[in-house]
Amino acid sequence: MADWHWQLGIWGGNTTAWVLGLALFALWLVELRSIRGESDRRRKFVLGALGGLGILAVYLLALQITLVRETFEDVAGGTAILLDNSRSMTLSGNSGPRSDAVQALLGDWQDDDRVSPVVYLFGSNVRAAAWNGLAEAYEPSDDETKIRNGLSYVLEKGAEREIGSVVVITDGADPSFRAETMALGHNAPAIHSVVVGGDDPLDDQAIVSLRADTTAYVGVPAIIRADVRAVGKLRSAELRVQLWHESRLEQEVVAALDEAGRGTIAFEVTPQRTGRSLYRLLIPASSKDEVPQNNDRAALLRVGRERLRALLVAGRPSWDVRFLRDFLKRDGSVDLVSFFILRAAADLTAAPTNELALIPFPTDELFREHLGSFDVVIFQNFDYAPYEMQSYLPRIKEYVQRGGSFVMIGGDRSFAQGGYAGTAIEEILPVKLGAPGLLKGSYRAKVSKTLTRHPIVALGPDPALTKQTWRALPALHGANVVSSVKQGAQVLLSHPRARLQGGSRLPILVVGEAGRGRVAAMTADASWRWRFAADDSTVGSDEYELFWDRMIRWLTHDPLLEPARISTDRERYGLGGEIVVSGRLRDEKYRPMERTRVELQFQPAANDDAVAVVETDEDGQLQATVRAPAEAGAYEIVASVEKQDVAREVFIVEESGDELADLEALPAELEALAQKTGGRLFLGIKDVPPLSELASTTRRAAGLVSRQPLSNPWFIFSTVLLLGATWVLRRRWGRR
Amino acid sequence: MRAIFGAQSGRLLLVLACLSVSPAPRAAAFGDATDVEIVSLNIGKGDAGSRGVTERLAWEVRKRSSVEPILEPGRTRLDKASLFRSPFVYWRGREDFPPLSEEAIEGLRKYIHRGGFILIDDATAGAEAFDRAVRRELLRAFPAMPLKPISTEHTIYRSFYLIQRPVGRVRGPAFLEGITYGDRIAVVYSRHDLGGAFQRDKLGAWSQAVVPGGERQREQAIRLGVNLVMYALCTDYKDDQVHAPFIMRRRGSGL
Repeated sequence: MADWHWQLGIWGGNTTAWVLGLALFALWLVELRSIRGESDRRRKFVLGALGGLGILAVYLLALQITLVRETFEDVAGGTAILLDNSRSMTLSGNSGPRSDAVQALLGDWQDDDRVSPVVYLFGSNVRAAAWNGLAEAYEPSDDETKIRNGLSYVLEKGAEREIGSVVVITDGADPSFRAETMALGHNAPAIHSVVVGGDDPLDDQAIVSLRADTTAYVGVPAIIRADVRAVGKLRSAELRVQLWHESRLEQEVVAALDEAGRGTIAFEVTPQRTGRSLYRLLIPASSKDEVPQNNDRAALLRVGRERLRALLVAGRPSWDVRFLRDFLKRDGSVDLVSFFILRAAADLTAAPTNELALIPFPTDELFREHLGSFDVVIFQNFDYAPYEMQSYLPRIKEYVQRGGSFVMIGGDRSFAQGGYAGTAIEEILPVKLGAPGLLKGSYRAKVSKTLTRHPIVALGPDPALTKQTWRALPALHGANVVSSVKQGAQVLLSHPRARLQGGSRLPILVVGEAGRGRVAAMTADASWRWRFAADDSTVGSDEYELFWDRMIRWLTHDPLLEPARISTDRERYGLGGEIVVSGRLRDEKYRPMERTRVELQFQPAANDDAVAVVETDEDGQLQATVRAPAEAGAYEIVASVEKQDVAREVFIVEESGDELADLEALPAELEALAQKTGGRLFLGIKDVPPLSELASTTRRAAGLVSRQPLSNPWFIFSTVLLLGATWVLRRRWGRR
Repeated sequence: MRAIFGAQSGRLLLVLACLSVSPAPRAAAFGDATDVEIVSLNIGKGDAGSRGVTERLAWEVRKRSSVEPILEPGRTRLDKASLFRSPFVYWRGREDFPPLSEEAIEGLRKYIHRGGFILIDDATAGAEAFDRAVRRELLRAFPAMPLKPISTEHTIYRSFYLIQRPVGRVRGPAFLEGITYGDRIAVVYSRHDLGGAFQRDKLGAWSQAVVPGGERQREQAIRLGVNLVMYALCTDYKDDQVHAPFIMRRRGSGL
């Protein structure tokens, strides 16, 4: 009776039932009142009881009580096969490749035409596959095993397709899978699992994962950590791990493994050069190792300097020098070497050398021995001639063209006034110097309309606020006059009134490139005024620091300030693994490259063909999915627009990748799933029954059953009999 | 050059020497707005000839170093926007003065916060009136940063010349006092009448005798003035590693 529910058939439902009930109850009270004078207590009780039962019977008849029950039926349910398509299914145990075993099982099942399952392949993603021809077409290649994703997808589909059972065919090599994370209702289909190779555990030593800082610094120890594992017969064998760098064996350790055969080792490396540095971790393969691919993994360190090294040379102390040096000294990311000319040859110090705190200008040391160690060289109102530096100027030019950076800041000893016209320095500057000339008077520098997004001058969150900020900054005073701006250079700031001979505005800040390096020419010497002013509304101490911070970072190729950037979703992939590339492209003026055709290409590559061609959206964003190269190594993916490289990113391709790194099957989780859903677990394919035995039934609603227990002649007859008996007895005992 | 400024030289010789050693002609710079200017502070009462001191200090700095200060520096007030014409202010006094206005105190704070440097010079070199008033106002402006003696190891004593101890017109205490703001000394207070050692009369002769060290002490006072200007311009530049071996070697020579 627990499944039965009652309903009232009386017109008006519950309300009518209540009204009628109350009315009949009142009628019974009237009847009781009418027999109040009866002296015979037995008669009085009989008349009252019969009257009450008769009224109750009438009431029950009037209510038309109906009992309702929902019924279900078991029908043959659909069957889904969830087939592991990851690369680990290609591995071979003692009994041959796992994929061969899967093909054999599928072939057997396809011979039985009683069940026609739906099929889903899972790995990096989940997709449907055709049942017919599945065995022949099965070539697992995905770079990930995500059992949970596959099951969730099928269970969601199962609700629509009345799937009664799910058969998971996998090697179980998904260390992240946990049965308790699956949300399974009481009507969940039975989940059977076939653990391919479950009866044939692998003998394997492996580097499961690598953890290394992606950015390291010259001369600063960096740590590369590796999780290692040994399973099968190799669990008790010694596990040695070697660190190789540039074809040299640098370190070797023996890993200490726990009871589960797992351990962690750490190598300390100290990079000696900037750039990319590839380290290989290698477990010398034993002949018993059935998966030698996961013995060899790589870590790529991008080696920079812990701090930017800046050389600031000033022709004499000034407020401009003082404020810039203070800013650079305070900046923890800058290692500043500064040299100021405190005394010129004509100055009369009135003291012997040993009473002076002055040191010789170490030109040879700075510009020959250590020039290459600087990331940026700043000449601030500095003239080279008095210090016999002619021979060093070509060295500075070469330094910049090899990737260094240089900025010249104005003053009466800078640019043409400093005698740089016709020198190697003029060759790298973004301006042509011409004859010496100085402009006096105050002015507010104007930011170029088309370059308001350039990071050096983008002091506001958008172009409008940037212009507003520049209008509000304290005025500059004076500037060096140059003859013209070189081709390809960008004028970021200009004088509001003064013009060059050609009619264009006198440039105040010009940036450009020289070879692989970057250069800037700041013709004013009063940017310190942005930091030191009385007016609260115009003083720009934050803007001053932002301006010079961006200047230094842009000059030194800070990746975050590059106009175009792309990145990959992971750092390392297996052979042919799926790479998701995303990025944002802006042109050299930092405007979004909207709706632009972008070619993606690997370097090195066997040919010049693009691996993908995509189009950016209106914000310059792009996303693409490509397959990793089929050979292990360090690669770059390069984005190019109209054959011009605009952005690149580094990644590693390994024979194992993460997919083949941790191959230990976890049948316990699949077994827990089977127990929870009434499914079965098979280790290996030997004992797997025909698919029809695993195909399950499913319950479905079969409609409603209703009964009206009081709407039968016997109850009506009993009611009439009861009422009649009451009437007869009342008459006989002298009542009406 | 030591002979020119030596204690044995007579006043006439000194005058002739000064006339013969004029600063190098100024290069064509961008203008006064960006040049180094040693501005004197006018608080309305008893500035003790500070303008003459700043002119002489500017002249000495220009003659002895590569810095090219403006030779006719201006004056300013703490409660005026003109305070920010230069990050170097010279405040000289000899008398008590009434409490500064709130605007002046706020200007003082803002000036230091934004990078300014103030050299306070007690022209009395020992009397209490100016000293008491200065300490009172500095405490109002910087209650959490009291004046503290500056160690003779500080960069101020080797920003240009190697100096053993501070002296001015008088020998005074063996230390300067200062207020450290962030990683720099933003206010230096001298009780040596530093400016008194610089002042000259209209004929170019020294206005005041320097005691007890005479001309040698005057030269040391001038050197301290130059060092203070250099410190304001270069802060701890001389602490950079590149300078350390040279300075250590010269300090080791006993000078």
